[in-house]
Amino acid sequence: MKTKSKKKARFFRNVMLSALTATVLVIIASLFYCYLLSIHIDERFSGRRWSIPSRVYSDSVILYPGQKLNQESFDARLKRLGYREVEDEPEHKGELRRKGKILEIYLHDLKIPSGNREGYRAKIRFDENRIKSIQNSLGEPVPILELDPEEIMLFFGPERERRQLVAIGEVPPHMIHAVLAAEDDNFYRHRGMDFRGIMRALYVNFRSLGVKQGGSTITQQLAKNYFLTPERSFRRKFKELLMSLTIELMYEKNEILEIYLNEIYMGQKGTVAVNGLGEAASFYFGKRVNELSVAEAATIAGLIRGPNRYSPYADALRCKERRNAVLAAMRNHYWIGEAEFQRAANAPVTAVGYEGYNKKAPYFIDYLAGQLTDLYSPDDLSSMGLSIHTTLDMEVQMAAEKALEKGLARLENHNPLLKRDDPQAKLQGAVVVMQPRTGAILAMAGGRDYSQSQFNRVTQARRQPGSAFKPFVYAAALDHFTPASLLSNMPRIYDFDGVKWEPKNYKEFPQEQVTVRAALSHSINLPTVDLAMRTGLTHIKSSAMKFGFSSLGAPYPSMALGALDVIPLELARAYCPFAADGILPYPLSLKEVADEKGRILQRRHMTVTQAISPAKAFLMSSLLRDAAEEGTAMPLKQWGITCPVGAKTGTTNDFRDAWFVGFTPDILALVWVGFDDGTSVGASGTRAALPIWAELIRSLPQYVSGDWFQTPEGVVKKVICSESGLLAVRGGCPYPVEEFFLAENAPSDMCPLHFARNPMKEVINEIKSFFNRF
Amino acid sequence: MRSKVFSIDFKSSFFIHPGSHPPPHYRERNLWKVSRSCVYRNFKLFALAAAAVLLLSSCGPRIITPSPSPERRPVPRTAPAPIQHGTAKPEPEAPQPRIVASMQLIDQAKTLLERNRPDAAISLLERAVSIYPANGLSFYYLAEAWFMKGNKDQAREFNRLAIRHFGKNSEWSTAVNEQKEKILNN
Repeated sequence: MKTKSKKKARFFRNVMLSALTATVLVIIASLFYCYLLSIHIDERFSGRRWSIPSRVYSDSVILYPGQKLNQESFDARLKRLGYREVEDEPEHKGELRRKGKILEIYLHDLKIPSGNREGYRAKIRFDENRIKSIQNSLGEPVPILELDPEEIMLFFGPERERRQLVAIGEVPPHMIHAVLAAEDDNFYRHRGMDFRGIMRALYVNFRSLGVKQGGSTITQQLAKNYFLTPERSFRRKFKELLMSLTIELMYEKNEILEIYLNEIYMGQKGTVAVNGLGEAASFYFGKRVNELSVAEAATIAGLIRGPNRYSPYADALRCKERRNAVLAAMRNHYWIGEAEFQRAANAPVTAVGYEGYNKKAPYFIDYLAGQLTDLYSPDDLSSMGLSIHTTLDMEVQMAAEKALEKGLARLENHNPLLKRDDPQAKLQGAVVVMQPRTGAILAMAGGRDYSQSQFNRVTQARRQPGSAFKPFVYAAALDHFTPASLLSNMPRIYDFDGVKWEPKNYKEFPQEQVTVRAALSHSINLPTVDLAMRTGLTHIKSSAMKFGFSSLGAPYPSMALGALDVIPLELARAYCPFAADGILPYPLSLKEVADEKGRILQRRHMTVTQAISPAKAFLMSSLLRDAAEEGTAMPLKQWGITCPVGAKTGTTNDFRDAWFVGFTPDILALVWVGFDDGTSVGASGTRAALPIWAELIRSLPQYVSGDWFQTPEGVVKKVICSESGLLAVRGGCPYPVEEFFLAENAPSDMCPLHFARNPMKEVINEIKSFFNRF
Repeated sequence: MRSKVFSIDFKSSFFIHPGSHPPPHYRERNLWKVSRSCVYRNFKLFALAAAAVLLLSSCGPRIITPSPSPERRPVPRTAPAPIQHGTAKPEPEAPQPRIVASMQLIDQAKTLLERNRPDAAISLLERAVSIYPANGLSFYYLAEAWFMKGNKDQAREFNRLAIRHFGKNSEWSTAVNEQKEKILNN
């Protein structure tokens, strides 16, 4: 009997020992597993926690009293920047109210590399498409007001996620309470697992006979989202549990909450996931997290359970119900009072709205990306959360795209032969807009439709400029010729390296001689070739290269008429010196690159070189202004351009290319129209490209001051005879005109054609001869 | 001989065809539009008569007869009016607001230069140039900023632009010339 009981006791002891050993082993194994998990967690949390796509921004916009603007485009800009209209006086950043000609706006905080600025209330008074005054909330005048830059695109990685990181200190208490009320009200008390929560969830689910409530804590959700797969298995659940316990051991509560708030999936913007509280606040309400109201915070917290189900964009009613449930939970925890609950629960659900992902300024972005990839790898661009600030002005960009499409469609309607069924073979065009002094590229439309053709005709095409090249011939000749010099307009056969070439005029000009001014403004070929041959082709080429062309080929006589290939962007840049005292700017698209903390990593400044003297630049601008007022670009007036403009048209053989380059002291734009395969457009630069330029500039009053260039030192004005080009004989020359000259080659001789016809002198001579007879 | 020369001149004058009017730009630029009356064509026959008329007219009160055609309005011969290229300027914007705005940015840039932050100053000065390209001060301070950064080439270019904009008679001409010397000598 004793033996039996002993056996039993031994068996029991063995079982106990085995169980204990097994438990100890399980505990050791679990601890070891937790240790392994902690290494894994540490690896993930100590480095970069998320891949933040780099964002590309347009330039910020400066407004000042007296500035002209296009009201419609300005309103559209404010909308794109996320400003929302309210009926009462704006109380929160990002709100605006219109009262007649007054716009009251509460500006967003401005965060740009050149400096940050807190948002403030401003009152902008308009007067017929002009800013009359800007005042702050104290009624003090504001001399300049800077609007935030627009987001143009994000460099997404394969996960295609949008995320704006927020620090826990930036998150207002009501937002935290809303999240806790919605997801884990016991967060600050449990150690990763909440038995009370699990029991409550089981009870709720049992009563409703379904899955109504989850028992996962915020830490468990974080472990699941951040490290694990969404599969439903015991193994995964166990791993999640161990992981959440490990996370709780390793990190402070606030740190866990911060990671969670930045991690959670909050909805979908087109094909891109919206993640984290910061991005959700911006996506749904156009605000920063610290600007969210209680109702908005509860709406966002309510989204966590089912972002697309409870989205205000999907179903405002369902969203409101969910929001109010969160608000009720907040009230039950005494995180908000009854009055606040009532106020928030009765507030309407109004999301700010968003634009879908249509590519903005795609050709410009491609051009920019070419420069960025020299600086950063694609992985860095899609993960480092860089802020890339550019020179682009979205208003100009949109105007350029609109004017181009409208102009090309108009051409096709006028001439149905230009229409093509194949989208790849369609009539194409390109527009680039620059600031001539700074070289900043304000807009770039490298084609008609980026989705059909990604070939950037501004930066990648090489086309013949035709007459648009002539200004560089004339600029090279200014050392020896003046605007009044006479050039031969007689047909002539040129023999160059054994090849005969007989240039012809585009249309008939019966005069045997024409002045330099008339030859350029009317774009007459024969005198241009005469000028080129007398100036020397090698000199013309070397002079033209100073305008920044990368290559111009061998110097042939036909070069004078633009029979050479140029890149449109280079041609636009080459015109800048005529509009900027002779300085050639470097074309700027990238301005600054800053990291997530706003530290500047790259900076590009305006850099300039002198292409020609200010005096010659002034003469050229004067000659090109004549083209706009009396020459080939005269139809500008019919298109509503009445301000002083320097311009040049260009048309190549068989109308393969139509060009227009025009400038004021403030802005320069180039337009090209043609087919990629060189088929004839059937229209000149004046007919095909000029209207696009005119429509573009007309829609940008903020860039058209109406000013013209001041006469620089080294330029003199003389009254000359328009027939001889020499100093006019007062009272003798029938068509005296004022003309600008370089001081060193201004005419000093009197007009020989009319010198003897000075009536007074002749009368005196007659009287003298009459008396001499006696 | 004289009539022959005149005849050739008249026909070969650019854009003037027998029986046609001069082109608009010539019409607008014509400062002393002397009508080609028979006085020219028969100059010898009328010379004495013209002298007498001129002498007598100088004694009488001056009467300005309105031109029948505004395009061919005679212009006083004493001082040539400044030429107007093409049409009149359509209400050029008063530069004052632009200057005020650009000066604001220049002031901010000056402060940054005093704090030895040339890069930030250049960014602001570039904005000032884009708002009002004719403000010489922007170029003066751009030259200062580039000099501070040690880039003498760019400093020289911007100094040249400042000189061009200030001219000889400006109160800033001394400063820009001193800046020029400073850039050359350092």
